[in-house]
Amino acid sequence: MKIKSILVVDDGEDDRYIVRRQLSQIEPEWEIFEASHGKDAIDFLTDFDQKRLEYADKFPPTLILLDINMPVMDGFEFLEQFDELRKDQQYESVVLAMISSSNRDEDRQKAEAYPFVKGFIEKWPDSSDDLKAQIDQIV
Amino acid sequence: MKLLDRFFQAHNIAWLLTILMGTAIAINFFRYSSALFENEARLDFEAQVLPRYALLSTTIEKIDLRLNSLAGFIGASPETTEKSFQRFASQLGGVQKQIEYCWISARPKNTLSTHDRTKSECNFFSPIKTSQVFLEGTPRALLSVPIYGEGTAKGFAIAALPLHALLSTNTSTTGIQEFLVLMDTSRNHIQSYTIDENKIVPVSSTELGPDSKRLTFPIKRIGAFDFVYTAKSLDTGTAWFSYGSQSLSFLVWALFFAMALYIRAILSQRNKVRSEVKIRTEELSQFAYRASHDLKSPLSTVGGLVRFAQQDAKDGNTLELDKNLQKIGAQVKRLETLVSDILLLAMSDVDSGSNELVDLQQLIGLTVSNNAESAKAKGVEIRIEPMNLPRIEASNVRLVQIMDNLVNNAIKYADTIKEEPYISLAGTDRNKHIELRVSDNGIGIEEQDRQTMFGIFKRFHPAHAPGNGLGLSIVQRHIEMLNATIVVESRVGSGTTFIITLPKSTRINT
Repeated sequence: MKIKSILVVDDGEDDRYIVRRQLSQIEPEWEIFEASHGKDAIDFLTDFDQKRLEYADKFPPTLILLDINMPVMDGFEFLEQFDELRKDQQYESVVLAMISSSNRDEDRQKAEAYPFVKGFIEKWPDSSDDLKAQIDQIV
Repeated sequence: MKLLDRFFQAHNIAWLLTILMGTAIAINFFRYSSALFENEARLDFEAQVLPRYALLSTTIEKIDLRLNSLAGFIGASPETTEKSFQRFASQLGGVQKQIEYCWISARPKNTLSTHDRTKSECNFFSPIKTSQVFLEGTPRALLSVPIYGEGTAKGFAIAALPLHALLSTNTSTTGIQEFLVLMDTSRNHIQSYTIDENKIVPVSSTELGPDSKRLTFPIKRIGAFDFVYTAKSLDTGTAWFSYGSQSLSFLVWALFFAMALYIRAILSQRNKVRSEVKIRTEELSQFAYRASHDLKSPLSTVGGLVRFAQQDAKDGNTLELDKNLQKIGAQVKRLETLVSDILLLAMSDVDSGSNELVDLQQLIGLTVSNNAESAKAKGVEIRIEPMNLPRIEASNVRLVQIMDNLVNNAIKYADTIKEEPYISLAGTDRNKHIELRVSDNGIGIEEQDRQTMFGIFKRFHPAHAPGNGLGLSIVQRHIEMLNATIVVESRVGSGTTFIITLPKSTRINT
């Protein structure tokens, strides 16, 4: 699938910077959205029509890169909420990948229990090529 | 864990000793008390009963003689025979009557009986000396029962034995039941009878157990039955039992009960300890996960940033390089703070045991000066309310950390939108304890957050200010170790107040 836009959900400003920089190195055309925690991300994703007007076919994001440990609403809570949101067909195509410094099996399993979570990226891949390879596998 | 095991073992032994002691005491009590009863009964018997029985005994002997001689009279003139019989009969009748109606009663004095009127006739039987003995929670009658026998009674075993061999009650009856009891010692057999419409009717028969005391004197036959004595039970539903087994069974029951209580106590203690251990293990594993994650995360970020810095250096992108190096520096600093806070948290749990005389006013002054710069930078005013506080004995280190943390938080979460953001520090001497207040007009804390705010790694406004969420956990631990309390009052948008109650002497935990 062709990636048009990516939503990065991570509470670390520097982490978002890292992803953004690496992603734009892979493909400058990609639109990168950012959210600092799950709630912001959900808020961003809802109101489909409004966002569609703003971003055209770049909304909804093709891929969501989701951190686990975040304040207000963490990664797993977001997954729950997104599951609900996804009942609206318009979000069905969205693919998710977890990004985390945690490599605990239980976190992995918990995330991959959702059918729309297709990958688990460990922070941070050595280079943008590395990240690209991982993303290609996911999307 | 080892400490727990040790404690548990020592505790176990203490319980074991207690139960053994308790048992020893119980056994001795019984021996002693039964000896008491025995003694009492013996004295009673010897003093009062025996003489009377001697009398009864003689009377019955006379009757016996008469009976024997009666046989001799048969065959003599019908007149003499008849007279003899009559005389015998009346004598016999008299005794029979005595025996029949003269109940040895264990009745309390206030109970009336139709037989009372015959008491005056009842001079062969001593009134029963009774004492109430409570065994197994229900009253029993301890009867000292006079025993009829030839010559001197050799036993008064009955007296020492609560209800032994005296009574058998029909458990379906209620109230006071009167029985005749006949004892045939030669056969070791007890036959109990009851009066039913003036007729004597057998009720039950029980063998004496091996532990029961025996009566060792023969019984005179009077008429159709070997009559000995009668007795009455105060308590219905009592079954036959011998002395030995009675007290033994009580002891067994007492022991069993005590054991059951002991086991229950031990089990509940063990469960409590186990669940505490479980909770602590959970807490620890939670903490380990969060701590390791929070340490790893900045490191991975630094890793990513370093690679970019290398790229920027190579590309000659000095601006970007500079930015990245700054970011790296900030992340490392965060890491340093986290590590030191984790150490602080770990140490806050440890009882260092060192106390000193702390001047609270000085302490507060120190806190303010430590935080003056950051307060100024954010435009927050720190006010110290006038206070008159005594010196208290406490851990200075802990107090410093508490105050520093609270003031630091107040600065972090000050509401810069307000015209005059401030922090106020106040202290009051409330006799038994000292009350310290740290108030601010900052952004406030949501009600649900107030429940969890002292937990580890809890942060509610990550965007508002940096931090690792350990500060208040450290404060909490220090508060506990100082044997103090902390309470938070807050309203979102208005401000927050922390109220600390410090005991004047914190010897206990610090």
